[in-house]
Amino acid sequence: MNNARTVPQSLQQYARGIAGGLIFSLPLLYTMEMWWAGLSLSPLRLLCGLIATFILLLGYNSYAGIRHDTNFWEVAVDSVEELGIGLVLSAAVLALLGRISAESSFEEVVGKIVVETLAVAIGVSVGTTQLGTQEKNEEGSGSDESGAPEFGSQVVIAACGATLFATNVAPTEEITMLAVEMAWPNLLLMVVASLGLAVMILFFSDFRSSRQIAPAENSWSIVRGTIVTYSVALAMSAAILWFFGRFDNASTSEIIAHIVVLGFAASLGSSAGRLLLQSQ
Amino acid sequence: MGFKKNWLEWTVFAVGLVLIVGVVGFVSREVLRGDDSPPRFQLEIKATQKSGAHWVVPVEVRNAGGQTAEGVLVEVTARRGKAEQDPETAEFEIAFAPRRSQRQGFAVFSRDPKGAQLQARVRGYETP
Repeated sequence: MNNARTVPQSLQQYARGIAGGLIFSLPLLYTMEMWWAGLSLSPLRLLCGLIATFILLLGYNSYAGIRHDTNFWEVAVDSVEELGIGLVLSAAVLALLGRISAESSFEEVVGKIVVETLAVAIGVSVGTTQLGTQEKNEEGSGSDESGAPEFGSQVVIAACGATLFATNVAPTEEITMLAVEMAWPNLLLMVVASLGLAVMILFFSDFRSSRQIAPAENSWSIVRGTIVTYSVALAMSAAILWFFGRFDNASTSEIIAHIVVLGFAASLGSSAGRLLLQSQ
Repeated sequence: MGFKKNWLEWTVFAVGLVLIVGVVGFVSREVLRGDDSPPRFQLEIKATQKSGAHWVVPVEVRNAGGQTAEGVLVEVTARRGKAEQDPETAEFEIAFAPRRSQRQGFAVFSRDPKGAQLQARVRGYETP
């Protein structure tokens, strides 16, 4: 589909983006800890979050966007559009919910919008590409000649999926409570369960597109695919937990426990995400 | 450059770019300002209101510091003269006092505080 879209088609695409942004991050817009994070996170963290989100969007649009065999500038323009829509959508919902108003200080408003936008923008990006009807997803799938997806695209999509799932539970007190109260044998079981879940989703459930995206050619490719997926999940969990300040003044064992607990949700996101978020 | 975008998409892109640059600029300015001084409270007592059988004293609590404070306990005392042994006190807690922002709380008295000297102070808080 190389011709320009008509305005009605663009409007439809934006509508899908808005729907996607809300579907994937409405719980976050309704979560108190997110509003508080907007008020208390340092500006430096907010900036890091914005930059990281933009990089994820660039990656996602390169590998899974509708026109992903195109040049960097088109991907960048798409990413700017999605981040912009994310900002406006977050602001609109926060205002609708009364979380920001004309009386709030500018700093408070910007902080809350930025924190919410991090997940909303990824949702917008996913909605734009994934919620369309079949004809819109005609292009290739970021794969190399053999049909298996390239490593870079695997990692980026897994990262986006992990972020979407993990941010929905990360900011709240429950993650800290779990991390602090779970004994080490339980945490170990959690690691095993996360790996098992990833293996099951990627290779043994005949999930949508699992044969193309995660072909189980041999045991080694299963091991490799699972390790990559879980590592990405753990890395994104660590980044998200750091962002929300769960690592400030925490001991090493607390940090590891937090990562394992969040990693379970992130692993679900990265494995299912690889299958759900990649276009056919 | 091979872009195939219509005017609506360019408009969305332009608006998005302006918003992003604006937000990044604002946040960067805050980063450079680098003010993360501890919470510092300024209290302002407003006019007493009567509410049923009680009197309500509104207090505006402003956190002028660079860090957010949680669980800010504010105590208001109504002192009727130096000799008074047991001045009536009332208190309230503000769950979340963000940096450089204000919140309003209300202290409820059972005796009319008119004629008494009202003093408000912060008794304690914690950081998130």
